[in-house]
Amino acid sequence: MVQDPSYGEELHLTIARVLNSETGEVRQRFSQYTDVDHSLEEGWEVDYSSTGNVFTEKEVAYCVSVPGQNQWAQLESTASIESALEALSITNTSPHTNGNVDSGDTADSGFEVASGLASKYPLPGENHTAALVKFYSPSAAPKASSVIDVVGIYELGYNSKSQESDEERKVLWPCIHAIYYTDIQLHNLVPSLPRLALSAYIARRDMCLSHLTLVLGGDELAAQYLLLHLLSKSVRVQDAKVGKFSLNLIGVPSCEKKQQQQQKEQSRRFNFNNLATKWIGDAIAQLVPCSVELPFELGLLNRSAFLPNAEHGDLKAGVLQLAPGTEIICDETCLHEGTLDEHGVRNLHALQTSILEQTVTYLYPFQPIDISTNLRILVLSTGKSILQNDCDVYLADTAVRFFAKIQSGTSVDMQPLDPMHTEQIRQYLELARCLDFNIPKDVSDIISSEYADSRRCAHKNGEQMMTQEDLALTVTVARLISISKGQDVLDLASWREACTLEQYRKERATKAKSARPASGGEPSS
Amino acid sequence: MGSQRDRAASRRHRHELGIRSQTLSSELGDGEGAGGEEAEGTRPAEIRTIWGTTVQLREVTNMFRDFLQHFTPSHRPPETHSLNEAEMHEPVYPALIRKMHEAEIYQLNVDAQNISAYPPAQGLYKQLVNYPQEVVPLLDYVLAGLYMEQHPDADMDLAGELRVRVYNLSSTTNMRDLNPDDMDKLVSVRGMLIRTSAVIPDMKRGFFRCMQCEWTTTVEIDKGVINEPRQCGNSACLQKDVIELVHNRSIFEDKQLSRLQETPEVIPDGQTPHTVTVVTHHELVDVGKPGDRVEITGIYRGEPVRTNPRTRTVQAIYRTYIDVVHIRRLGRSRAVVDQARDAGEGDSGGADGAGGGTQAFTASEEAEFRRWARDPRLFAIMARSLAPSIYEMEDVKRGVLLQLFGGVRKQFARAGAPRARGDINVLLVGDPGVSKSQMLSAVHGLAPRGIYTSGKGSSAVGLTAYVTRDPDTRQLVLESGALVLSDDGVCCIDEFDKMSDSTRSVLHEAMEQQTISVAKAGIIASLNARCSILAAANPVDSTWNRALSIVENINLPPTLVSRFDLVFIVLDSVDEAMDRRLARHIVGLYVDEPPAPAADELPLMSPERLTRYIAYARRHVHPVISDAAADALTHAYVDLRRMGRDSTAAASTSAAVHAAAPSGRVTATARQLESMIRMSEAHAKMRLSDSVDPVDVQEASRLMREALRESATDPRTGLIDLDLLNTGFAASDRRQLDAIKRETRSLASYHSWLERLNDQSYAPVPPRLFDQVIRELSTEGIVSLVGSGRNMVIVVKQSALAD
Repeated sequence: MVQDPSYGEELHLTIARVLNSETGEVRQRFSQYTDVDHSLEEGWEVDYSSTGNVFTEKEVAYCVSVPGQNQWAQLESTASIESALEALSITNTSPHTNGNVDSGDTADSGFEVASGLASKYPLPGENHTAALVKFYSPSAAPKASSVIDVVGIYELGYNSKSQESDEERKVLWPCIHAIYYTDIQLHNLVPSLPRLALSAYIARRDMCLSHLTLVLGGDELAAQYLLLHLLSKSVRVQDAKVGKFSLNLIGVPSCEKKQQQQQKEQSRRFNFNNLATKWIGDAIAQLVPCSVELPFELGLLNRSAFLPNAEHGDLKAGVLQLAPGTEIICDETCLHEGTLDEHGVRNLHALQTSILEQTVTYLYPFQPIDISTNLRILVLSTGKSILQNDCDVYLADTAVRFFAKIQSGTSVDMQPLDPMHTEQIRQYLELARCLDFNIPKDVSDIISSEYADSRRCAHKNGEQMMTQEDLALTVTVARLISISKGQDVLDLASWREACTLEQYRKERATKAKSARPASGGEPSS
Repeated sequence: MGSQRDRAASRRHRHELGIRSQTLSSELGDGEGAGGEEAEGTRPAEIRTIWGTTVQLREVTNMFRDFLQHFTPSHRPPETHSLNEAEMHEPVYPALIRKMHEAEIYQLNVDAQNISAYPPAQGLYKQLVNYPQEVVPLLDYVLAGLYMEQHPDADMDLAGELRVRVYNLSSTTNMRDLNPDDMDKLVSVRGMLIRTSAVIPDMKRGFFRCMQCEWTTTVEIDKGVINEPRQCGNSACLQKDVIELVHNRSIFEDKQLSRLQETPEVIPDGQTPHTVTVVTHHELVDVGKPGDRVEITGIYRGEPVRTNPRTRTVQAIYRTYIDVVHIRRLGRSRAVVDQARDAGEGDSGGADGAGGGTQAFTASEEAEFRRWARDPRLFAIMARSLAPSIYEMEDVKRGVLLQLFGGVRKQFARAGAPRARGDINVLLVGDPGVSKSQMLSAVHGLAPRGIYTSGKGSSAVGLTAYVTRDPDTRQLVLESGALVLSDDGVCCIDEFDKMSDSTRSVLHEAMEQQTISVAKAGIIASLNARCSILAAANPVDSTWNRALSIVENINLPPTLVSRFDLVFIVLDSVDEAMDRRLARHIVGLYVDEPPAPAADELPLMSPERLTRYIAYARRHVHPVISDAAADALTHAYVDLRRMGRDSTAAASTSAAVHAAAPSGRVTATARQLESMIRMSEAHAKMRLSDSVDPVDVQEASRLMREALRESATDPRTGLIDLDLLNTGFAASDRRQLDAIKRETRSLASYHSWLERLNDQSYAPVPPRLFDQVIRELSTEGIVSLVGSGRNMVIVVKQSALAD
């Protein structure tokens, strides 16, 4: 992932004329795609006044391994390259081609090889690799937070930005001189995507749904919504963001405070301590290429930075600077009473903005810049979440009991998913998400008149009227249902299904709202 | 390739600009000391060019000398100056040099456009831009010569201090587009200073002494390095490694490194801003502060990244920076500054203050705007382009659009006359979920300067200004709040109704007087807050109650509501046709490829265009009300007022007691007239017209009626009544009030007044009205009150009962 696309610019003397002052002989030295200085023999000198010197400009970008990339996606995408790399032994003078950003190889000669700056990786405490990628046609440099595939020449070089102290000067940085690069999407990390027939979509949908139902303790409705959530992606239409579908699963048992305090000292890493949320997190990590776990512990919220910040020079990464298409799982069950300081409030506000508007603000000095992103956010909470989400789903009682059991530490017997099936589900999710979508005129007319009718009826009976937001949400649900079946055109059946699904969800919500306060003990906001 | 040649040449002359004069004197030959007498013509006409360039020393010096002595404003295209004939032919620079002498400021700002417009100095501009490293020192040298001629008594040392600061190049380069071809050329970039280093003493001449024999030498800076002599130069000594630097005899100069960052206007969508290092010397140090928008004219250079200076290598990597020749501070505001304000502030950096904070509008842009302005559908197109994702709400969009253009701020010449604000305030009230907030954020994005706050989260000081203690200096400083920060812009306040009363009260001053007064902690100040306010509020019971009037529906003091020029009520109304269209619109958003716009559909203006258009109109159009428009305004106002009277006959049946008296409804007050004027002006601005015409008045009064119809309609009578906005009491309320009062008074004794009243009256008496009755009765001295609230005991005075 490109963490900082404008890490620096360098001018480069690509072709240098060298002159032998004794014999008057002139030679040319070429240094495209390398930063290593040519050492000159005695008597030779660079003729700076020559017209034959050619300068080129290159743009340096700071790249890190894709944050939150799950183990399986890593293995698949880099296995071949890593083995190839092992065959070639990299030293700091002999250049070799290299296909991926993340490849660290230690060199000799008493220099250390930098393993990346912690402040420039979105997830604190996480191991990662970093490299400087140098682009030779600066106008085509990639955008911040995009994921790229680079073909280039690997070299260990100096970081011209961190040269202040002698110690820093000894650190060699992995550099890739890009010959070619392309933007990739996260689904490119899933290996060997086949083309699926319509019937195959439906079969895999059923497989996926039954798996998710198992994960959610038999709650079919919640599983359906979770599936829809996993299939969502936000698209920019005119100046509105459309298609985002952040989901709040309500009813996950809360984490004991005692338990949390024990872990408090442990580390700054983002990890779920609640066994129940961990269960869901792990299950999702198996299915999507990139997912990030975000526990809402007061300490973490107050300490970590969610927004990328360049106010003190370098662009420091924030937790929300993630590759487009990353799944964020927020665990609100570990949030307890305490003080949320200004920093924490800002962090939560940033998260809320990215839920509602799908933008992340990069804090450049004096002029914050909003950059649009595409993150799927799943909030697990006990009561209604403090964040405003597109869709709230109360878990069924069976599921609540199921998670309570997991949390108490009793092992749940669930058959591990067949590796082949896992792979099929992964493929299905990525393929379905990329489907184009269209609403034909006749269906859209029906939707419009139904909307108008329902409002008229509601108005007559003095009930709550359907609002624009409700309609937008239902259309989103219909869209997701439709693509989950592999259809790229909305048909009436899917629309009806969406309406029914929404109906069920609302019924459950009203039931839960009326039941929960009575049962007591459940914090609800 | 030329660019490579001059780059190469500059390697040889790689001295810092800060010390350029010293080096120069040697280049120009020994006969001429710095500031020496005129040598022109006494020498054989030999052509000396700086090696590797086409710069001819003699030619350049002569040209510039001629320019300084003889350039007059008449050489510039005539429209740029408004000077009289005598001034036109007065040479500019000798006067400036005299001023330099008097003020003891040893730098001369030279407008590059003047150089290129001066025919005898043909080619000088080009040479200056292409070979600044050579030409700029020559210009300094010429200036020094002229200065010494004019002021022979001046200190000789000054000659080395004089600087020519060139600015206003024909084109500014985008930071993103700086490339190797610009190396060692004079470039001009705009951006925002984000960081400045501390002032670094930069050694420009090192003074060395041999520790053995006291032999001394000086070493000039060369390629950024001072080479320490390794061996004593005294032939009797010749000791090695005994040379030491004598600090207090070396010469240092101030140097500062800053970083310049791109401003948001030029950053492509989704990209992060670029930065470039700038190096300032001497007087230019600390001219810009972090946060300033500046235009920098300077030399773009590269400097090798020294990985290992000892070894002999081809140093391939260069870091780039800009060596500053001139800094011009631009306005701090985002896009638009009123002309009037510019003149008041003056231009601190530039010499003649041409151009303010805005990016100049190009001729083609202007032509495009004019073309738009001629389109009869202009208003509709713009309204559609404003937040296109928000459906319908046509009138609200139009109102908001007029707010963005704004009226004309009027300062009456006669003494003691008030200032009239030109800003239009708009309030949106309505059901939740009708995209009020979306509208606000759309405006926030478009407004020249906008601050977006939420009423819930703002405190009074957050909106106005507060006094804090600076953490470093421990001094009291005044920090501006949202209203002050959006001076000359639009302040968007969401959740207006959820604001605390104390916070809201500060808005009274801001909205009519357009100032904020602060008096605390020893600071008494009145700050300008000339902003328009766009506020959004929810009704009291979250949804609009049609049976109640606006004041009852929004929990806002009527005094505040009346300060809004336009109050729009956005209701989630049930209208089948509209619902259908809206649904289709929402569904349409979900189609991956939006359908091609139908032929009869209006074209859309992109947000950037719209912003520029508004900026252009605000800056360049200052409409004056024409006679016809004044008539139209009078008519419209009278009409609006008459609306109150005409319907009196119809309404009078309900007010039998007051049959003779007018109903007392007020449909328009002087405030509405002022609003109408402002809106007509805004409409004229939008048309880029220099006069307000009757069409503008028509549209303004239409909008006004539209807004009034919604907001000031008395729900009981269905008639427009502005008293409702101004005092919170409608005329029908008033009549009811009187009736109740009479009834109350006739009651013999007090016992649960309200209940008995209710038994009597055909309609239930609202408690609010009853409270008002009691209050009025008590002020009239008929009853006296003991206690408060529900437990209040009302005692009827005996004297009152007697009559």
